[in-house]
Amino acid sequence: MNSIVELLTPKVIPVDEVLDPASAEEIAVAESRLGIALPVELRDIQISFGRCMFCGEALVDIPGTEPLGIFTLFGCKGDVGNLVSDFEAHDEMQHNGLVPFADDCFNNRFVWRSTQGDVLFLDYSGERRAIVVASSLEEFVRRIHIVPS
Amino acid sequence: MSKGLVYEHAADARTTVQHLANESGLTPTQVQQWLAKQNVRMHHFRGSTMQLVPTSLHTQVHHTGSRGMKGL
Repeated sequence: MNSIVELLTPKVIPVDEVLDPASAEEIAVAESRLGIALPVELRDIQISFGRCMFCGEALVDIPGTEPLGIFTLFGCKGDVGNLVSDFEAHDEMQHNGLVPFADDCFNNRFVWRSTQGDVLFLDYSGERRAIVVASSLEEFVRRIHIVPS
Repeated sequence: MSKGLVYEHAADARTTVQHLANESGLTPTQVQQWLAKQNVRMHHFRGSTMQLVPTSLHTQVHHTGSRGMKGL
């Protein structure tokens, strides 16, 4: 098992009854629509989980500021929580090569910036700003923790 | 209505989920699952009012273009 999947496995649960991972063919279709090859980390998330959510209140630690909540991880198929349709619905993502892969409870987005490999938070509900929150997807996932209830 | 909102994302999400859990008798995790399954998200309305808005509607308001997003 690779590190991203290993890190996420104890933290994620299905949104519906069971997980709905994507096949290699479905990922290829998604990449074709995006015009962007998904990084191995996002491919692994799709192949292992698909659209999913966290098993409790999940926070991403951000150095120097308050942690950010994270709610669901997007899949690459279906009508809901689909990173492809979300990408297609946002001009600013298409223009900047930003692949949305997660949201928070306020419908803000976490995106992978394909040109640099880092992770940004797009705050639509507050100051309408983009901030870099991790230098890589692996670093981002390592910073996610579940708050004990 | 959700008392104790501070207009900080993570804190207000926690407050709202707990409020919904108290009202419904569900656990906070069950409330989160319900929100995800129904595909609704939270929206600060005014004061202590938090709205639950369908994601599709919320996303339509996102069409800001790159000039509308600071930092891009």
